[in-house]
Amino acid sequence: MESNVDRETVFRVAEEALVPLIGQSLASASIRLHGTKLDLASGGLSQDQVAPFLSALGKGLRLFVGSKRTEEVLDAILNGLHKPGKQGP
Amino acid sequence: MNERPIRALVVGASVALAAIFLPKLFWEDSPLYTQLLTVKVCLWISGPTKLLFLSLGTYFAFRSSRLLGADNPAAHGWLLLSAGMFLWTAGQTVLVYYQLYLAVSTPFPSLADPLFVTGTMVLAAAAFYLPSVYFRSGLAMGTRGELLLSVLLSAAVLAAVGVVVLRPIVAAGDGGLGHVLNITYPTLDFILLAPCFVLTRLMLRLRGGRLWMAWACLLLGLAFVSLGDILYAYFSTLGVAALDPLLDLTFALGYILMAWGAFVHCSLARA
Repeated sequence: MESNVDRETVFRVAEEALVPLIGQSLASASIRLHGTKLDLASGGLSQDQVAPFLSALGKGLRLFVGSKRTEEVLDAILNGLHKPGKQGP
Repeated sequence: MNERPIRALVVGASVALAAIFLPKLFWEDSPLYTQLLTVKVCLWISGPTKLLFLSLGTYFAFRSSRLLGADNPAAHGWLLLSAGMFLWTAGQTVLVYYQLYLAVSTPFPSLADPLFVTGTMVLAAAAFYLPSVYFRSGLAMGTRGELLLSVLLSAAVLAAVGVVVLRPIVAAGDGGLGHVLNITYPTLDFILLAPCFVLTRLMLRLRGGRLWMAWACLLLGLAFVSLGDILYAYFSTLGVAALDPLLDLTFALGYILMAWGAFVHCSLARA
């Protein structure tokens, strides 16, 4: 992830990966919570901003499904952000 | 882990048990139950079924604990769940030994009782421990105020219901060991149910996800078993035996749901 990624894209991709495990309600609430905590403003996010955001989500998810499954989910999010068309300006 | 055979086993056993034990409540004197599905045959069906699903629940809860990882606080809770189910499995083994191997009525109290009592205490310890772990996950699990409210509410409601339910059981007994156990079981069940309500409140946030399915089944299973204990204490105190099929079904469905919940959780933790 070399260039900035749009915040809404990051949130959407993260939500898509989390919903099958923790449901729509908790996934979107947790994403918004960590977005606010990390002060992720709308617009483009750098890798330095995305990494702690995913780390915070992963820390919570790890309690529910363990490290290996959490790594899979986080990888799926990163792969989703790498796909063409998901990059921000 | 292939889900299909376990799902087929769970659905098949649940449907078969309901089909056998529910009509027995109404037509116990029919030829079906006096000649074909006799008391002995029903014991051969329900005893090993309970034992099977308790063993599966123990195994899958233990596997969940291992898969979560030793440094994961939730793993300790799952290890406690596994230990509690293991003690219940040991208790059920004693019951099966009396009912099927010795072919006699299980004495009350028996060696099974300390195993069931200790198992319930261990499961209650898990149910008290896990909400604090999940609440501190950092995910949007609600505020401290909401958690405190659900703790106070469940404690108050269960204490009130507990007093109403326990009063006739306390009054009706002779003060012997059997009577003490008839009070101990439902008391422990109310203690177990209180944190289970808090866990349910927390886990409702996961609804729609696969983890919700795991927790819903596990918690519903614990509720079924607790309900069975309370009904058993009532019926045995009042000397009512006609509702035994209902008790058999309640316990068996409880163990099946717990095993399925532990299996689903285990399969989710497996990468």
